[in-house]
Amino acid sequence: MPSPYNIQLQDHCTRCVLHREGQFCHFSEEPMATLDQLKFTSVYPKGSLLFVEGEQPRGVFILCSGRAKLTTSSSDGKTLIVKIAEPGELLGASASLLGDAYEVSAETVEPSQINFIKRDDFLRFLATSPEACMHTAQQLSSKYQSAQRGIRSLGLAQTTSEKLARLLLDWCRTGEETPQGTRLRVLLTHEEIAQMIGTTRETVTRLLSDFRRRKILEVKGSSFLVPHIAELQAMVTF
Amino acid sequence: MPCMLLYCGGMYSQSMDALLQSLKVIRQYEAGASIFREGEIPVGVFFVKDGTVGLSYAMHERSSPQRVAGPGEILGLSAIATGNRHECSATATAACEIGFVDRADLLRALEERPATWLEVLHFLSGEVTAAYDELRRQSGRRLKSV
Repeated sequence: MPSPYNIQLQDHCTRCVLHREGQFCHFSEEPMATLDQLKFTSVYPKGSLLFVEGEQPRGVFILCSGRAKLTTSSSDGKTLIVKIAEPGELLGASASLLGDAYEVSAETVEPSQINFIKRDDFLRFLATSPEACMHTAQQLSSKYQSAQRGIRSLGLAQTTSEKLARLLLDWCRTGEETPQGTRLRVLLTHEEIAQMIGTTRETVTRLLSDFRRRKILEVKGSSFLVPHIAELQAMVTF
Repeated sequence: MPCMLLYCGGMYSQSMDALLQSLKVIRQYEAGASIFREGEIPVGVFFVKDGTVGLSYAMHERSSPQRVAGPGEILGLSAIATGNRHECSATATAACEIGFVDRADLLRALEERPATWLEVLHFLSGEVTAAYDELRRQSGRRLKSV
């Protein structure tokens, strides 16, 4: 039977083939069975809002497949993308734990399968499973470190060109190694890339053209190729 | 002085405090002494009992100060959870007394006291919230200057 948005739907966590080491839901048998009972599975198209900054926490979202952008707004209403969440990430955990409003918004950037757990169920799950606590601690720490890198990049980087180089280097860590170089699948618009590094769409377009002219980057649609990572590394000063 | 585990709202947890007190090794640091360095593999968590600790990033071969941590603050918990290297350096800015808890000891103790896990998660959630607040502040400043 065809699944919506061509997603290979995983109905049961216990039989899921997607989870990997280091992901939130990579549990042993017992917590996995509990998770299976608690979660509500949904499939979302690109552009779906999972939760909005300032909204009271309803629960947590496990990104089973697809990707989502986490955004926040500055005091003057500008949008900043703080992270692109990858499969296996837990979203909304800090707000759900503290009982405070979500501090970011989450929106899918490609069709995604999401497992939702109601806040009360999530807190009960944590109270009974040290393994779930450990995985949640890893997820929170990872978000914290990612935000710290963002702060550091925004506050300390010298030029916008350096920030773009740093972002591309960050993406290269999960890119596909090919004989021609590192291939990246970039589903973000220039506007969204600008929101990741705190600049304007026009500047991103100009810098990408400049990188292409200097053979630092090749761009074909959503496919970016970095022929020599060392050239990007040379542009970054810390 | 009892250790007060502080997080965003200045709250503290007595059971986490008791756990740290039971496991800690107290170390004395002179002003200027390094507690941990950026890029090092984390081996445990540190909490400031007395004195102050400067946190900084390396930037253009210099140290860029970020903030000063005081008594009651806990350092290095996020690095312990992820196993990633320390993302900043911690240096005693005055003579200080630091409690140290080894990673394995902490995880073993948490395994035995699941309720304390929730306090650790609250602490980390507070850190995430504070980091996002700072990111918003920095981005507002940056975007205005573009």
